[in-house]
Amino acid sequence: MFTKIIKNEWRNIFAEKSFLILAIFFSALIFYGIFNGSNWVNNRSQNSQTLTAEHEKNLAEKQEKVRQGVKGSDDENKVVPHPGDPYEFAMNLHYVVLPFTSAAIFAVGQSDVLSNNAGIAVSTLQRTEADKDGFENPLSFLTGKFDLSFVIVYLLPLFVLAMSFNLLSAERENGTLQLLLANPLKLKTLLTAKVTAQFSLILGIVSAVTIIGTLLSVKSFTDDFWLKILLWLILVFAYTAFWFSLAVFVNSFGFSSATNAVVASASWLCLVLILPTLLNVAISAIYPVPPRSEVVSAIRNVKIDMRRDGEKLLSEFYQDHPEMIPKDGKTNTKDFGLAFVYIQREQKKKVEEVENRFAEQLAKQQNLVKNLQFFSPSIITNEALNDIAGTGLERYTNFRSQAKEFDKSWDAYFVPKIFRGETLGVADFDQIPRFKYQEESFASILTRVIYGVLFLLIAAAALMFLAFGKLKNYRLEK
Amino acid sequence: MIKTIAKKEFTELLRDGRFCWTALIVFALLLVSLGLGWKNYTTVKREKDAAQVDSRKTWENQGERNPHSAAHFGVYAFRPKMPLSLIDSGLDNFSGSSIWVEAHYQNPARNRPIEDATALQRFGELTAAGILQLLLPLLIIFLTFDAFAGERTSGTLRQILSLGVPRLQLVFGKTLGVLAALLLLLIPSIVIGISALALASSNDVLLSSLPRFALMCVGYLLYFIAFIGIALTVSAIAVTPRTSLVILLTFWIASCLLIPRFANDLATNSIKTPTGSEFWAAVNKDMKDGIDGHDSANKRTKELEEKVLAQYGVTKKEDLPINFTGISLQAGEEHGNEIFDKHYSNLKTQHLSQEYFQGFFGVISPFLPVRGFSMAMAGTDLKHQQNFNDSVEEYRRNLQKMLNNNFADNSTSKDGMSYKVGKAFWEKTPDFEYVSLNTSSAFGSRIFDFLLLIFWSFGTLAVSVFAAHKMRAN
Repeated sequence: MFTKIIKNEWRNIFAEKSFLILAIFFSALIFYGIFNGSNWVNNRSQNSQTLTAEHEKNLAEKQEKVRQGVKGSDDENKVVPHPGDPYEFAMNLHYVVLPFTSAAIFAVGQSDVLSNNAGIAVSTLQRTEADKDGFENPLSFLTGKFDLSFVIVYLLPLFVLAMSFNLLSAERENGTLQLLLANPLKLKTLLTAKVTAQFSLILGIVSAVTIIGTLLSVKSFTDDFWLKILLWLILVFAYTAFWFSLAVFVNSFGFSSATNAVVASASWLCLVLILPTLLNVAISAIYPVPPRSEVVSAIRNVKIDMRRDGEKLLSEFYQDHPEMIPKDGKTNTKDFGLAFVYIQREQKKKVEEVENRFAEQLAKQQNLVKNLQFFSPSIITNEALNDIAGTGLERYTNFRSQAKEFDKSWDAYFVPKIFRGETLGVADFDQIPRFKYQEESFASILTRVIYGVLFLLIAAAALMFLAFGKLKNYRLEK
Repeated sequence: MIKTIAKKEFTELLRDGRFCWTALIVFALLLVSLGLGWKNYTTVKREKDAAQVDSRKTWENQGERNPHSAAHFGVYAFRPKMPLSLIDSGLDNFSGSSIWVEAHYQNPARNRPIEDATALQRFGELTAAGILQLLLPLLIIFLTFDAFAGERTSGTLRQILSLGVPRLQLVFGKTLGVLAALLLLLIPSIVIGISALALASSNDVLLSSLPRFALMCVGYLLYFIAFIGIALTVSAIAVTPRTSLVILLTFWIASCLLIPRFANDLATNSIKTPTGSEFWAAVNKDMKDGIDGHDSANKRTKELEEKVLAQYGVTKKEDLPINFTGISLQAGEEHGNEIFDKHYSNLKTQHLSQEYFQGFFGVISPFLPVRGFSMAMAGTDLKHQQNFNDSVEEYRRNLQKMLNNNFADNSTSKDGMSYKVGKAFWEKTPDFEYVSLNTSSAFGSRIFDFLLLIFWSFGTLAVSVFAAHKMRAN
């Protein structure tokens, strides 16, 4: 009987023109979302690749010049720095890059707001162009991107609800419900069969279209890519299950189809639009991020002027750091550049202290998001999709701290050479630190995602259970 | 007759539990969001005012310094929070909130609050504007989807039509009835909004904000009328209330969710903006051919030097009665300004074109024009951000000029960089004061959106009258 109803339901669904239109439209949205996401990732990756290539080229050129024995010139009319002059490295900014994962095309996530490039320089970023950034249109952040994640989080529930809001009510309004139940068939079984039919159909469409879209747009597959796709599909399964159970639950009250539609859309509104914004308010009230003007004040409170105070500071510095004294023992405390490096290092320390406070607050907020996500299935799904795609806050936080560590090793390599007045030899170039982002394992992504998925499934089961209880009192007539 | 119909519709809505509950929820959300907006406005305003004062104090107390060292030290300009941002925070959280005013560089606004937020922020913000733009139309849909379709199902439509009630009056009556019910919710909100505004700002700020506030209210009213018109039309055409509801919800989804994102992606994909590194690479390329105040070997500096030497009738820089470095720095600034003008005006045009591009989609989505119009009236849209950036840049150029001139005029080339000035001079430099766009230019920049809203409201009402004429009783 069960399979008969499923088959019958499928037949009915396919007979309806509106379903076909809806299905085609929804598939088009999925395709568009994937296309848009991959467009975004391609553009951004190109920019990152250019930056990395430029840096490597620059290093190789300098090394070649050193190899050829090119010396700088101090001639007042034509100052040419020595190619191995560490001071040049100190002043010059380069970028280290967080690569996009292959799954990034699914969710733009935070990658539009948080940069995939981090500036590295011995001077503070404030003194470089890395900190003179922010040319995106803010309007674009406000609206958000049309990626697959948007289609799943916002639109998939609507698709589900549009199909299922009148699961029982329509049968009742058409008078077919009584007819059906004249057979040896329980209402529970009927409902489960109908839901199973619709559920498998939607999931089939979503999975198939997603996989086809993926195959068309992903160029290189990393090892764990298919694992991620699998996790993505499991998540979509759980999210879809939740919304179907919600529809069943709404139907079990026995309202009319129109009322069901209102209730279903109101619950969508609550869970997808209103609750996340309310939680956001709560979270930023519990862990407020200090005003950014504090970073500004911190930088400016380093009240040193290199022209005025440089000499004194440098002689103190050499006293404290005898290891930085040049080999010939001649310190140059009047050197403008050295004073600059010294001040930049002081400012860097200050800025780091303040920025750590920002990072701490943000980490606390993110922790709270993970704990409170269970209030809304959309938050669970949004967070999990970002995690799988590698565009969530955690990965960017990891990247930032790795970049910061790298910046320190960059400093540690060049600064002593600057103060000791050394130049780089050919072999030294190979010792220059190189950045490679340490990707987190699939297992650790899984641990972040799995609780949400489990919760969705449990919530779905609970709603079904409640609905079945209610069904006992279901009135078959209007 | 209109009055009777309106009264009937109004009374029916009030008796309807659905209306009371949803209206109460929407009202509660409006209240909460206004409260949050007020709190946010006062906190951020306090922080920014303090930061601005602090920046000035640091500048004045920087001690004895060479004017060019001071130019590198720089000052900060903080974008002031607009009073009506408590209703519509617009782009406030997505655009930079401060600009570093320094030598050689026109800097973009930095420190976007969104960078210090979790992904939850991307679900949208709880602002009064958000509720008016997204939830109110839904409330209207829930209230009106069965205005005709419901009467048709229950058979009362046939009765009314048999009485010979003119269809025009029928539509207007229903519109007024729904509008009256909405106003019951909106008027207290407006009063609360004004009180929040009054609490948060001084009298003159309040007074100057009122015209903007009034225009904002007009914009929203037009938006609501548009949705009532659409809902009545669909309700007149649709056979059953269910179909009517499904069509209206689909329209809402398209208008408020799909089209804005679609338009945004289309706009940003077809009108590209540079990333930070691309922007600076382009600027640096232009700069390379030009003057650099620090590099006397440069060709342009040579030309400048010859010109200045000839002007004073001397042959050596050391014999000049002024300090050539100051002149050279100012020339460098002016050359840089040309380059910045080029690149920043390109960027500005790109951003505005993206906005206009999206604006055209307002023909199929009333959400877009009302969002833009509301932001503009609140002073939180792109135009206002750009206006702030421009006035900071104007301030920067004046300040640089003052510093360089002081350096050139009060020392000679023999002094090099050893010339210093102190507090007395720092106090004489102007402080940054921002005067926001006035109401009429804010309105002028959004005239297209406003016209679209008029088109939507009157257009849909006209269509609904037409639909009512074609409407069948069964």
